[in-house]
Amino acid sequence: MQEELHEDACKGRPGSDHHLRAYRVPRGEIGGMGFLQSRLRPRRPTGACVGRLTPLRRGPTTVPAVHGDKGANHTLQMRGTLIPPFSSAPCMEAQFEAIVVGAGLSGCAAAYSLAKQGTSVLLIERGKHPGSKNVSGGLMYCHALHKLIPEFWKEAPVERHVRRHVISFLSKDSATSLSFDSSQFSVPPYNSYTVLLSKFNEWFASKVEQAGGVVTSGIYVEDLLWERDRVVGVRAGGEEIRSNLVIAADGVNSRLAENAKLRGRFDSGSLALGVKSVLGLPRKTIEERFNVQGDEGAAYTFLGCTGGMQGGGFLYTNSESLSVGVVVSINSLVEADAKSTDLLDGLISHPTVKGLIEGADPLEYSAQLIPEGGIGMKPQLYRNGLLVVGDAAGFIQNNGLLLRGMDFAIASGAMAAEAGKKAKEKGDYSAAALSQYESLLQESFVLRDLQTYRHAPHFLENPRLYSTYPDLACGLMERLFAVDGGPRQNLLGAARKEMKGKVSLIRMARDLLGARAL
Amino acid sequence: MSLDKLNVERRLGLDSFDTDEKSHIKVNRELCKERDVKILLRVCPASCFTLTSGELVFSRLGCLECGACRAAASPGAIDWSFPRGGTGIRYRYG
Repeated sequence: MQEELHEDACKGRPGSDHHLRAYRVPRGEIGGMGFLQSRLRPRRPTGACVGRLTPLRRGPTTVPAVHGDKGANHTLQMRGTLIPPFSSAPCMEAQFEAIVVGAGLSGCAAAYSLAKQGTSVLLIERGKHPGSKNVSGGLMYCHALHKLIPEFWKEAPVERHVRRHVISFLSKDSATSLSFDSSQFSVPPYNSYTVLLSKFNEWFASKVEQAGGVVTSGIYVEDLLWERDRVVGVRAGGEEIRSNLVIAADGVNSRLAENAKLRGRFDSGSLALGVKSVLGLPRKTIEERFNVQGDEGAAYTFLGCTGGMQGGGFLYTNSESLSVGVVVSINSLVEADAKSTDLLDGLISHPTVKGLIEGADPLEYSAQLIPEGGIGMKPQLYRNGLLVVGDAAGFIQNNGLLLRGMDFAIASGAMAAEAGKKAKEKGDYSAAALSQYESLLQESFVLRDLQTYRHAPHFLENPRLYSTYPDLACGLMERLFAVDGGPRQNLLGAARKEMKGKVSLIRMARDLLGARAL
Repeated sequence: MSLDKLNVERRLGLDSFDTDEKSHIKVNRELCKERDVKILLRVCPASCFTLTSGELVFSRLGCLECGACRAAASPGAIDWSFPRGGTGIRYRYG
């Protein structure tokens, strides 16, 4: 058995063996480099692996499960070596066809697509388990994942499909809202689902394993491995793992994209900070409060809750919790002399929002950088042997009312895999061959939508959007509805009066024209 | 306890961390100017930067690894990296 595995491993096709596929590294069992070393070194006669391998719950398992006492499963540890061992002379052959760095949505989508097409792939996650470093606002537009895994909502840990979108303009003590409710959004294929990425990506990574990919967690990839001008693998803690293709899915703070000079550090002007809290609320209370049934949900976007800073707030209903957060651009945060730790308070202290989260129990606090520069921040997307996907490539679209990145992440990951497939067929992983990736993105919604909204980032820099206009909307509504027996004014007169000292008619007309960017 | 009653320490107390013994972010005293100090004290959503006897200090406890400090401060003001694999924030919801 051992010989058999060893031989197969030496061929550099680890994904081709059922026995190997059946294993995953359990959480909390690996402590950094000891794990990698144990996998990359030639097999020793006695068991000295740091990582203990236990069978995957699902998927093909031909080796009996061993639990419990670590001393008892030495043989199994040895058998379970996932990665072909290095001989003492450095093995120049690729150990994997592809290595994907980062098990977020884009990385999982890339690795899943590669594994599905029979390509040997290693997915490396720095967090303790896939998903443990991932944060999103929480609203995923379903189309991209539905294309990859049809009807994924039937098996994935999704929260609620959103049937009602509410846009609220907040002034100090009032709110003017526009609500869109669609029963069409409540039937499959759903338009959007709220998700909590920690468990969602854990599921997604398990799909990668089921498809034959190798997933490993708790390993931080420090850099790319180069041979002249070609990426030939990754380096983690001084160890090297070789592959023909590396896909950088290491998020908005991607070190790999920077080290490969695909881009510089993202400019602070194109980054926003999101802070969020997940608040527990019983299912029944959510249904009553938000007027939804079963797995239906609601999504709120708030403008005017950021003290004039460029940004907004959101509230999404999960199955048994709410995701409440605020996003502001880094530059306006710096200029406004405001504290990030106060951002959430600006939203949750508003009387309208207060009523929505009443009695909810705080479960988690999180923060995440968001690359919102749109197509203007698009980096170089490929090098010889390297592609960049998802947030690492800045694939996010923001038009002030809708902030989407998860479907971009998934689609870009899948397209990187597609480009990888073509490169494999040709046996050519050069930048020229991999440029296919950019063509695929251009033909798809990813670069098309970013192109459509290319003027949105500039439009959104208008400070009047974040206090003047929300105040104006609420002021006008108040004049309309507040009846106290005093003299009344017609709507236009009320509007003129409300605008006085806040914004001129010409300026407002210009701003409206600027809204063509959306 | 409702969210508005919780200060940042209490909010961070909700989160799970596997703390590394080594710090992954360092303040670069030569390049961290007064403006950067002011920014770093405000921009971190976990208040990881504090002034201790007049010097800016980074405490890795509670770091959410968002990168806001790196984005907001001038280049070189801090040496920024992720914590070691398997350590740091462990989101249960995300």
